Amino acid sequence: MAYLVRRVLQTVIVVFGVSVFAFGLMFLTGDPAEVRLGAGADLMTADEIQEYREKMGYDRPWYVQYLDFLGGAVQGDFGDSIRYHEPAFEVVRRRFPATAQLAVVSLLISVALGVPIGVISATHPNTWLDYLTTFIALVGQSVPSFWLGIMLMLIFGVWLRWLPISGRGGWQNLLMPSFTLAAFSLARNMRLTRSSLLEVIQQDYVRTARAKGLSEYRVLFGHALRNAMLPIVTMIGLQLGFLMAGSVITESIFAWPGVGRLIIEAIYNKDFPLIQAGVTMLAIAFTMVNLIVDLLYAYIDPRVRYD
Amino acid sequence: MMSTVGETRPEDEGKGNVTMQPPENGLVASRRKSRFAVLQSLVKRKLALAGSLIIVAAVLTAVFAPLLTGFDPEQIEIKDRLKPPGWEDSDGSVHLLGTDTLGRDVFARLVYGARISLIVGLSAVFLSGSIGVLLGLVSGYTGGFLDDLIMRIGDIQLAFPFILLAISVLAVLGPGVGKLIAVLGFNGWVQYGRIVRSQVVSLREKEFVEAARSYGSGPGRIMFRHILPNVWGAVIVIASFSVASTIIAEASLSFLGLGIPPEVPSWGGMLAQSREYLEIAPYLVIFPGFAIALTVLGINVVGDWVRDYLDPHLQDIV
Repeated sequence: MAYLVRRVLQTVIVVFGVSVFAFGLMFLTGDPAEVRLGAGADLMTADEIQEYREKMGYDRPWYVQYLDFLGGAVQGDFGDSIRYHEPAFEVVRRRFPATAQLAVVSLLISVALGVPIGVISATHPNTWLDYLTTFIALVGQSVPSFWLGIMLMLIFGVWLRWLPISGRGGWQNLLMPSFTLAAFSLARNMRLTRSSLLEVIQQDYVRTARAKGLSEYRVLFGHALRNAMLPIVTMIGLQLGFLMAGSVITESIFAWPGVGRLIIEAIYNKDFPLIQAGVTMLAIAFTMVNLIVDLLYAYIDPRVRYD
Repeated sequence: MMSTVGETRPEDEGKGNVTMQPPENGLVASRRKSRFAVLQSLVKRKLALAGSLIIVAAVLTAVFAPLLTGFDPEQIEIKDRLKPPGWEDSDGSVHLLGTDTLGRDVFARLVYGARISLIVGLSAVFLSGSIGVLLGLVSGYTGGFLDDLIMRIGDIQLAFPFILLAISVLAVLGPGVGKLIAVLGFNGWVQYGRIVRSQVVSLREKEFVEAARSYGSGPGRIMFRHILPNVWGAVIVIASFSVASTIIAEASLSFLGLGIPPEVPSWGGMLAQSREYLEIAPYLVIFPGFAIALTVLGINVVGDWVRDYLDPHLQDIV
């Protein structure tokens, strides 16, 4: 119970920190009016800039502005997007399902492929298969995801013309982006499953199970894997949050209509309400996912609570 | 040390390891074990050797860039844009890997780009390492409120997805190598801080610290002279993996147009600028990405080996 309270409190602080950060973005260079106006500020007189400042309320003390921002944010009001001319919150909310879909599918791929391969690798150690998969995993963790995405696009989209290279639609559209996003996690799951399982296999209870005469199959699935899965499941839980936040680049490459790409576009357009809304909501989603995952694990494995 | 890499020492039973040895009476027949043990340590060493060669090549390329190519990586020559590899221009000089969308020599940009990747990678890691070690020492040794505060700040910082933070900050501040190093550097301190702190806490009560205190050493001296040397191993291992991930982070940010200004040659920037020419000039995309992947692979492989060499026990935490 104490753990629950502690974690929730921590999450509240983090969300609070996120709001401060999103708000503070405009003040990074000191003057929000100049940040907002961008290059156009050079063409304006000092009076005009001051007029703009007053109109937007930037001349008020920062804490007043922050409370204003916070009050609005809590109600989901981040102001209107400069480009889309509708509430920034709405624009972001519409794109969320796309990002969520990409993240979830990527997670599924990284688990459905990564864990079995890791198991095979651990149960056939030192074979060419083991070395091959270990090497692939190493490469998978070293290759920058955006390059992988571009290479996939080149091979499957341009040269072979098997898959569409952009946009969201059927499963063909989903295939390359999700693989690109999943690559790093896939590699990590492979390595982690392998090492975790190898460690478990050395334990005494596995030796006992074998001594009892159980078939290798039973030993593996009934005893070894169940205990090896814990660090793996922990890692997987953390991955979902990272996949959501990390989709920014993959979405940009494949023109996937998600929140990440929206934020990037908003940055190019200097659409500040949209940037604030997008960053805040994505960060909060990330935090919430981690919170839920953490609480779930505290429930499953009581040892975690005494961290 | 290297000769015992293949065997499992009694006190290492049950330690997690990526390339660890499988058990004797397990899934590999006992009589084949000794051959495989040697093979595995040899493979691992060969891999690490290959990795270090890659790193050395990257460093040499960065340092001796002007000697490797006669072209100026930033010189724009629109009439010569998008030429394929091996193309000879009007001066008779050959563009080994062709030219990019503004007519700049690809090989030159690749070679000078190594400088950016390595400089940013090493500087950012140095920065985050310094901050992290310092805060970790202070936090672990002092304890109490300061300790709590520092660790809480670290937790909060970890809870925020880094890429969003980096993108937002750089979007407002604009591109620039210094700003990029600062963002990357200030972000990564937490991992060092935590490890150093836990090491400090476990060493704090040992006799040699008590002895130092008894003959009048102040906390600063104890922290730096006595505790710090014991903490180096983990820090170095984390740092080596951090360089790899920082290089990728820098490439990603440059790819998004934030971070390195577009005229400065950087591998990530090269990828960004050549994306739209994927169909007509795929070589523009293949080489920079391959350079990044190869360099990072080399660093990761060597990092693995360094970790195993310095202290296999680190495999649990790193």
